Amino acid sequence: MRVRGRKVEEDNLEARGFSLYLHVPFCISKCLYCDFYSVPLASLPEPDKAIESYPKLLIKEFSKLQKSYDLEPYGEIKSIFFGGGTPTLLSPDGIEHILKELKTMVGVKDDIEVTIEANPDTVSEDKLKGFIEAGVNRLSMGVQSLNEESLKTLGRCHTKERAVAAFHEARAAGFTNISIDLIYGTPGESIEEFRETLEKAAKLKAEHLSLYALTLEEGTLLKKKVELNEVTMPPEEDDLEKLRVASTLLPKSDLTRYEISNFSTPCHQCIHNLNYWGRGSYIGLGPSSHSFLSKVGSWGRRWWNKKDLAEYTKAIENIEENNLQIEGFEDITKESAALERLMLGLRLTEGISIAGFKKEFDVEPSTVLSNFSKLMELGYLEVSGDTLRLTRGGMEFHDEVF
Amino acid sequence: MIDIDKIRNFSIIAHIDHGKSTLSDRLLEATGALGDREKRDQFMDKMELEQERGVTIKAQTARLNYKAKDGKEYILNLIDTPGHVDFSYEVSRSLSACEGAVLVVDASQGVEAQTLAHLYTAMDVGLEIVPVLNKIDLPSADPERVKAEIEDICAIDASEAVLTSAKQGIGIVDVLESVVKNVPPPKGDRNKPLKALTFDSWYDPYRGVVVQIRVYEGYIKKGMKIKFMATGKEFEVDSVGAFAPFAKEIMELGPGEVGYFSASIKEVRDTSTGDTVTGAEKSADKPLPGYKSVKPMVFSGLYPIDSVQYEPLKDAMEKLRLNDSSFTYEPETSTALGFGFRCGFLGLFHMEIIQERLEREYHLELITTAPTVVYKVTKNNGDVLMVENPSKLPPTQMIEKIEEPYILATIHLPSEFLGSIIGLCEEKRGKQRKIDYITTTRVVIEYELPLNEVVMDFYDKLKTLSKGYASMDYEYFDYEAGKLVKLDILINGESVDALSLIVPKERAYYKGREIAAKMKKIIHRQMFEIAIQAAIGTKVIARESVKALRKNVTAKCYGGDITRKRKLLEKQKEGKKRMKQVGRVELPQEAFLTVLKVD
Repeated sequence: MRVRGRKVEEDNLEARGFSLYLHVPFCISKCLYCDFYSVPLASLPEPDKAIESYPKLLIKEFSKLQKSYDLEPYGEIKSIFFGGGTPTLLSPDGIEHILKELKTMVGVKDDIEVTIEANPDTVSEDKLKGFIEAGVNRLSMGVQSLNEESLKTLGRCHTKERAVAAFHEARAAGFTNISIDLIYGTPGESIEEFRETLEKAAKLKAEHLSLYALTLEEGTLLKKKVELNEVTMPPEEDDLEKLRVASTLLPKSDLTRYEISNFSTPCHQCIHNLNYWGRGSYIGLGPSSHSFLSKVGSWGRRWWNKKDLAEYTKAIENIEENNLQIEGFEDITKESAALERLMLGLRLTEGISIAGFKKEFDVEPSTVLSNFSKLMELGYLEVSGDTLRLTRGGMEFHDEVF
Repeated sequence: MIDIDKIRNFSIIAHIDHGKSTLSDRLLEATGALGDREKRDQFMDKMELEQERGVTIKAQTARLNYKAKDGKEYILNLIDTPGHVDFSYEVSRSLSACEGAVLVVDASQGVEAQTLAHLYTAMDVGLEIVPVLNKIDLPSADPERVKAEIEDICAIDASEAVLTSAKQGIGIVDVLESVVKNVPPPKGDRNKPLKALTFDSWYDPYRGVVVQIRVYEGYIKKGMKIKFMATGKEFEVDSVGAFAPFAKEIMELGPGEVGYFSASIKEVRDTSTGDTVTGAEKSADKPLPGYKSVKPMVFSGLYPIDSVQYEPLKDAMEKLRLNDSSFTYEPETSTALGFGFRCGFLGLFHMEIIQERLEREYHLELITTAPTVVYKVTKNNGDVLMVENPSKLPPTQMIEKIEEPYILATIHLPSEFLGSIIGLCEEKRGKQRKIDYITTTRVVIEYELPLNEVVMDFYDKLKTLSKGYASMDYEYFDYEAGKLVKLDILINGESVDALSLIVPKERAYYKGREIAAKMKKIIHRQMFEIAIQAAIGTKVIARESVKALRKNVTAKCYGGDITRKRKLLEKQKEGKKRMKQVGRVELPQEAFLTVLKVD
């Protein structure tokens, strides 16, 4: 696979290293749209203690995994990602502890991508400096919107000014690789308002931008509000128009779309996410996190932890006696692996190698896609040379391919 | 050997809900045929489907050992009969294996049309009738009024009718005593060649075809060579038994006895219900009178959703037909649905039952097209065609006339519902023949109705409008010419053969609009606009459109949770397999039933 601006060998991605995802399940308050597993600090009996002891739990879990799975064949760690929740609620010391321990346990090269997600309200220039000193080199800032109304509707606790200020603090602290997350399609958001958000965001000159359409997730307060008609989702046409605005505006700031929801300047694609899309191996630590090891069984194994901090803490503290309490796992079949390869690969503007797919699965990609010919006819899917990819129009119909 | 004088063969005739199944269960319990361990409410309704729908579909038998008050041991063979109007044929089959019938009438609701139809069949074959008034525990029960009604309508003596409450277990022994006393024992000579009537049969994966019989003359036992008189096929009997009520092997079945045998019969076609079984060496000179064959009245296409299920579907239908000869099938091809079968049924309910049995018992996934009747089409050149598939109707300019089948419906109802039921019959293009007040509160009406109107939802409507009190029986009547046209449904300009239907001209516009509107709701948005049109010939009479889907994309694969997303797509793929492609458009299964659901 080759991603513009970054040369990557054609060989299987999973052959070279694995990624590490560390889930930090704390947040200040639950955003209305969020269905990731996190616990508001106020609901914990001893929040400070929980935060302080959490890094040790992650390390303990990793050492247990090292005993259960032979990680040798996967090579080196190629990216580390602190996600959440709000990982910037951990102290720089906590992060440093984790990275140092990992270095002694598995060996971590200095130049690999180490990302931390940040909520603008939880950082300061000093704290951000601390993260850099701890070994973090990439910041993913949850800006979401630069419109005050939209931020309120989403239930974000920060203001637009705070988000912009936090970005500048990150630059001042020394971050040279910053990504910002934006959400479009928030109830009440006009096309004009979104354009303003986008223009302001572009001015920040981030290296990377993730642009997600707001999805109503099961069990979220926002979904309930929509169901109760307290707020109304904007029409699909607006979403499409906003995306069009983004795809014209962002390239002017050197941000090129390389995946359905992701834009970057040259050489700043997110290595960690590219590993997901390339069906690479990764280990997730912390409650609710997911793991995938491609060399277990014939087509790899996926497993996921329970979404329960208390249970997780208890299990890890007694890890010598107890086995890890995972919520579930699946050993992937060839059919599922092929579907995954396409479902993930077609998210990238680069698409997938047809020959590579045939070599891996002995079948044409078209046999796995139920709407192959229809999408080709409609110009949503294209084959050029050895590459199968969704066209710009087709990107909006990614789920229709299968 | 069993003393023939101690055998009683009887059926129970009742209207749905009048308590036949409960009474059957009580009889089984009272005779010890069903221990507590095996007790399950409504044992006689064996099939899962029957339990669910609360009606008997297939006849079942049970052999009851009963020590009567005269101190003697009797064998009572209870032959259960189906209760739905579609299954009159099965009823006549079961009844001809009996000497008597217990007539169960609800002590508050009185006689219903269907009960009457079955009763007349029973009287036609010369059965002794044992009247029973059930549900006497209900506050609304009025045994004297209902007795009078039975005598009035059915012309039988009801003065000694047994009063029961099957639910409460009241009067159960009285029923048994009355059967012993009033139903005559069968007649027959053990020394004559075997003569047995097959009245049911089914396929058992271990034993091959199992045939249920009533022996009239001679006997049948294991090791004996037998012959089916209609097909001439010979087999060696490898087991003989009776249902007591579970299958139990016994030595032999003699004259007057009811039971089953198996003979390693592999081919379903080798047996036919109504055929006579005799000895291969010592044969009877002529067969027992068989059954009249019943003609299916309603036709529809059955298609496997997945074409690989075509052969399994064919096998399954062959097996089902074995014990349901009223169901017919013939291969047909549809441009929209591929290879399938045009099937004939006794009615809509029968159709639903068959479809459900195919899906549940044989694990098939099917698309059913809208049911239709057989139209008699006279072409300009004088040729007459019988059309059982609307898409086979010749072009309008070649048609001289189209005739459709009519039935003569007899409807029993409490007089308070007369107005609404007459309204229903008129709406369904009915012609009134007569109205009779049986009593001051009960009415019988007769209507000539186009069968096409009846097969759709007439029966359901009748029940709804009368709060369940009206009952109906019908017989095939005649063909009558009508102003009928073919209504085509076009999807993105392509006519979908499986959606065509024949409708009265004056209703075509309304139907066309309704169908198009319903289809709009059923067809999901796709990557392009979908035009739905209803047309008569080349004239488009209704148009709807399904707006194009603008996007369908998941923003991100959450935190490495690939499994959830992939499973959603796998489910979606499965769903798509169940869709039918018409051009580029995916049509869901329900679309083909839409035409059915429009008034």
